[in-house]
Amino acid sequence: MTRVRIALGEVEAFAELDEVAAPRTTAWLRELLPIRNRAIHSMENGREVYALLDTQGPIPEENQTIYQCVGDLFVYHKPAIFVEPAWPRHMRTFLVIGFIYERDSAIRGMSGPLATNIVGRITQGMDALAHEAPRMRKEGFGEIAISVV
Amino acid sequence: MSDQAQGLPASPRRIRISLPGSGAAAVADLLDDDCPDTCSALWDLLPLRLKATHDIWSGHLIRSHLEGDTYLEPENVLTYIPVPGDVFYYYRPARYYRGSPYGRLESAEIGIVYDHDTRPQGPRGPEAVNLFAEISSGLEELRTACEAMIYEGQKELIIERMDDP
Repeated sequence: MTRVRIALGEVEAFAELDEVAAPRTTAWLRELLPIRNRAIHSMENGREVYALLDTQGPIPEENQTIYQCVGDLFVYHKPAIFVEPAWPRHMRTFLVIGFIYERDSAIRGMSGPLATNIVGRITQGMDALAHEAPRMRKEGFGEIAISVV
Repeated sequence: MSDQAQGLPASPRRIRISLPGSGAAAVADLLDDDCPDTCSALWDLLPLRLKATHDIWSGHLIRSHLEGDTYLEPENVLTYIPVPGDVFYYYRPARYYRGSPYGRLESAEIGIVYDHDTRPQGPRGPEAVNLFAEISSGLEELRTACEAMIYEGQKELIIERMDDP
């Protein structure tokens, strides 16, 4: 099982990729790592932090759910309107990787829930992420880095 | 001679909404006809110097908490799609949501919608808000400053009277 380190601002956490349930997406993700980009807080989904990926995929529809849980690590195509509001409103998306740090959150698009590929589970440091994300919301967001341990 | 004395509609009361840290400012007209009690109550609180935070549920809007959790009755209720420039009041009673969002058991807030594809909502879905003002100028520069808050964090928000009637 591949273990990855997630560094957000001043804290770190660790996740295990789910190579059984999402073999193709995790293989694709491993090729992409390490990732270092600006961390962004969701403006539409609740307590979600994500980063843009420097590719548009494609990613397979695999291990998908609209019922994301705290600690799920997921990838999906986020509507561009929630990343760059000035963009035109036809179907343009950004491929992102993200996680939810507190319950009562759900990934949504323009017309309802969005299915996301669950690629792993944060197994260590979730509390630290849940503390750091609200702090960064107030003080400004820094970087997120994800790398294979 | 005043507009009213000439039989013309009275000019709306106006408020200035500014984010001094980014130099952005806009002017909004109060909706006194549709939302008189909310307009009067908030007018009496001005000037307000608040911390504004980008919303995380609703799309393109920022919100600020009113100190003292000022409760106002629902009025000119907007439950669905607001348009850019809408300014609203929202009250969340104690224990409405799990825990204390934003560190507040209950909350009274002012929200400003700065772009399309926005709907006031929280963990339990869309929320009804009191639509009490509409931005009539300066929305474009305010939009740029508000959008930046999702990356840059909180900013100071000042709401003040433009003129007394």
